[in-house]
Amino acid sequence: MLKGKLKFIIAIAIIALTVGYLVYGGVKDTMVYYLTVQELRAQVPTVYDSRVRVSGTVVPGTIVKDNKGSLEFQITDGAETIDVQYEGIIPDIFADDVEAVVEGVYAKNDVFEADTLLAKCPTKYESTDSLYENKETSY
Amino acid sequence: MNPSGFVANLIHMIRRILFILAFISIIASVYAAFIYAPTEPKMGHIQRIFYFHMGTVWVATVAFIIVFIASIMYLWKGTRKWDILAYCSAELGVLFLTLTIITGSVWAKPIWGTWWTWDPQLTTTFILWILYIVYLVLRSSAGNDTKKAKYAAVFAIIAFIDLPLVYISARVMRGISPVVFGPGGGGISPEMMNALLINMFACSLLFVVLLLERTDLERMKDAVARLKMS
Repeated sequence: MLKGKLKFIIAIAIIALTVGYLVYGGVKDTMVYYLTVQELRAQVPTVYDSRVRVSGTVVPGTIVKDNKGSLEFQITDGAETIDVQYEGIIPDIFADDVEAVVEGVYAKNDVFEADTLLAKCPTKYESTDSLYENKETSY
Repeated sequence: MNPSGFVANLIHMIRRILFILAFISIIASVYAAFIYAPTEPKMGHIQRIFYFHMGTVWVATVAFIIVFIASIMYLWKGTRKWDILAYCSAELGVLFLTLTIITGSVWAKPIWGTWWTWDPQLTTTFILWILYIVYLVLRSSAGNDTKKAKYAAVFAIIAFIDLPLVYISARVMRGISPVVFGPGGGGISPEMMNALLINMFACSLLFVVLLLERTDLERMKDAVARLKMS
């Protein structure tokens, strides 16, 4: 009986510690989901060649697609801007001014070689008809 | 023990009406999401999944709050009805949260560009899902052992800590999940709000109907077990 209780207390302690660790890990500055462009630049040169996730707004007019499917663009957080190179599936809403999240390696030539490209969806859901009619494609 | 005559008939009738209401409101919610609600200009038709995504996560949240309260009551009073309520509600909570995760994935694939990513809200949601599955395993393996059943109830109470974290994480930590409501959120158009409310109402009614049926089933199982013993 005592054994059962002890086992139970240990189990609860492990769960409590795990939850606590996850919360702590989440709050800790270094364990953020992504870095801003400025934070990435601040870590040069130690950040070179290590895998990171960076988020920033796509600079309008910088998106260049070549016919082989690779993509070049710049992202910014207002303070700093970096070049990104990517090859792969492009999210539907990826365009100028969209907040993008890229995963990959920041190369020594200051180009971010991304292998994952994610787009943040808008937090405001509009129904403006005029906006919708301006689109060339109709659903 | 069974309410007889008039009361029993009344309860039966109310349950019938609830069932029909749930059925009608689900049809209305499908209409609201697919036809009534305007198309979001940036995301297009895929955004319509939002209504079901929110409806199911709302029900999962309510279900886990019920598990929390019922587990406390079970530890306090020790009566089987609280134990049944906690278990059945957790089962439905996991079911609805699974639907939330699936609809979220289907939505995320074209818009974000991935089925899944370990952002704070998705991570805490995944932990929530696992915690309640563990609770279901713990409670069902306890069987008639009331002591073990109470251990499971303690686990359910502790697991509840994660529920507020799911909501807080998207607001205070960097992630990809959008915060649409509350401070920092962009909000939705009035027609979208109507469609959302209809969906949440329909999901809530479905949950109530399913919870009543499920707790009934559990009570019947108990009755059968008692009959077998005698």
